[in-house]
Amino acid sequence: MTTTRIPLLAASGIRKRFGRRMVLDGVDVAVHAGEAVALTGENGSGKTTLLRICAGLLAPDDGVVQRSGRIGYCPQEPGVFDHLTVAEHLELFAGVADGGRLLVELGLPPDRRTVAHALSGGSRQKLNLALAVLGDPQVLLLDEPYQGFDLGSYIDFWRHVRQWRDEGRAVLVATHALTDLDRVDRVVELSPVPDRAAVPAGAS
Amino acid sequence: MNALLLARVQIRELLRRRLAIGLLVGMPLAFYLVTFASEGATMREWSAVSGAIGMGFAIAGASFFAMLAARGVDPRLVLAGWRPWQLVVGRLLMLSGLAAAIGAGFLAVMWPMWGPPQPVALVLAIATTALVSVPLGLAVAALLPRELEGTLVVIVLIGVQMSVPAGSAAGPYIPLGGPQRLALAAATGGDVLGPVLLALVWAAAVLLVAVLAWQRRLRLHG
Repeated sequence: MTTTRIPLLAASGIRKRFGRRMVLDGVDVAVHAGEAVALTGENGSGKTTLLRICAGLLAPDDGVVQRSGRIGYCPQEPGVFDHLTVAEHLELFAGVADGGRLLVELGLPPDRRTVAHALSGGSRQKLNLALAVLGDPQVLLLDEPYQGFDLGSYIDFWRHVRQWRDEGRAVLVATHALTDLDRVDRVVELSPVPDRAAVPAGAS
Repeated sequence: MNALLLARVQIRELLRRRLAIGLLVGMPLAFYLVTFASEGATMREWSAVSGAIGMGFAIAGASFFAMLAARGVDPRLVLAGWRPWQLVVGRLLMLSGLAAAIGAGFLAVMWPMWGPPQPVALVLAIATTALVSVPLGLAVAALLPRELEGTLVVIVLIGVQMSVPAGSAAGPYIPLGGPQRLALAAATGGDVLGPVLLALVWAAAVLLVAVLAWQRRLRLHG
């Protein structure tokens, strides 16, 4: 039996410049339903910028992004309210005050009354990740979401990525770790855009 | 997902910042008490103005910090299904409640201590200060999202306001010019309708800037 793989996220010809610095220059990326893709590249190669553009949080200077279904976005720095509890975050993001199985699976502390700034770095990141996955998004954009995870949580995170992929979601994970690359279906590598202003005249 | 839910959750978030809220309210209150304790009729007029405008600092500051705290989260809430206008309305509801509480507190201190000759003008000064200061903080947070720059702008706006004499020709061109004239009227008598209208115009203008800036900041692209 053959299955038609639908691109739930397709970004093509993406260009983005911040001031005089070109960060993305004609980047293409597509993620299909039931696919996990790693987005790699050195610091400053534009991984975070591309994910923000894919999420619709940042406008590209040029290029087109097509999305199907709901987007779940996990930023690199936890986008949470420092003085709200875990339960209050859940209520705000998904209208559920009692949490969900996801938090248990991700290993968040059982006390949902702890405010975010009192959580450990890893637990805060788990909350950050959980908020991206709440509401069953079809496309998951995860920007190095395992910062501060212990080894068990890190392995568990990749188990979840496989699970989300197997559920038919499109998962795009920005990562530095080369050891992660065998855990995904495909790798998209971004290279820093050369600073053309620095190239001497006449050089090719 | 509705604005009331956001207002309810966010007021908890803000009230948990006890030290920051305490400083925001305590500093202008202390300033008022010091000026009130100074001798002379001129100082009494000045203390009325400093109390009302200082309260504006507390409210605009709370409004600014509440929006700043939400800066990294709001885009995610929009992705989760919230509409930008729901977030703005929710914050306005929450901050209006907070402003009403701070205003009532300042009134409860100023009225019995002072016994203003024109109490209606004092109530209007407090009410219009709150009315302008909430969107003022929102607008500063939307236009200057970095903490340091935004804080400096709030301080400068209030500082300029304090420096300009209440009857000055510059009054109509500064955000709290109306409340300033009302505070003076509470001490010396005078027109209240004109300053109230001026405050309403400023509140509407600053609110418009804040809403447009936040809508722009929170819109999804593509």
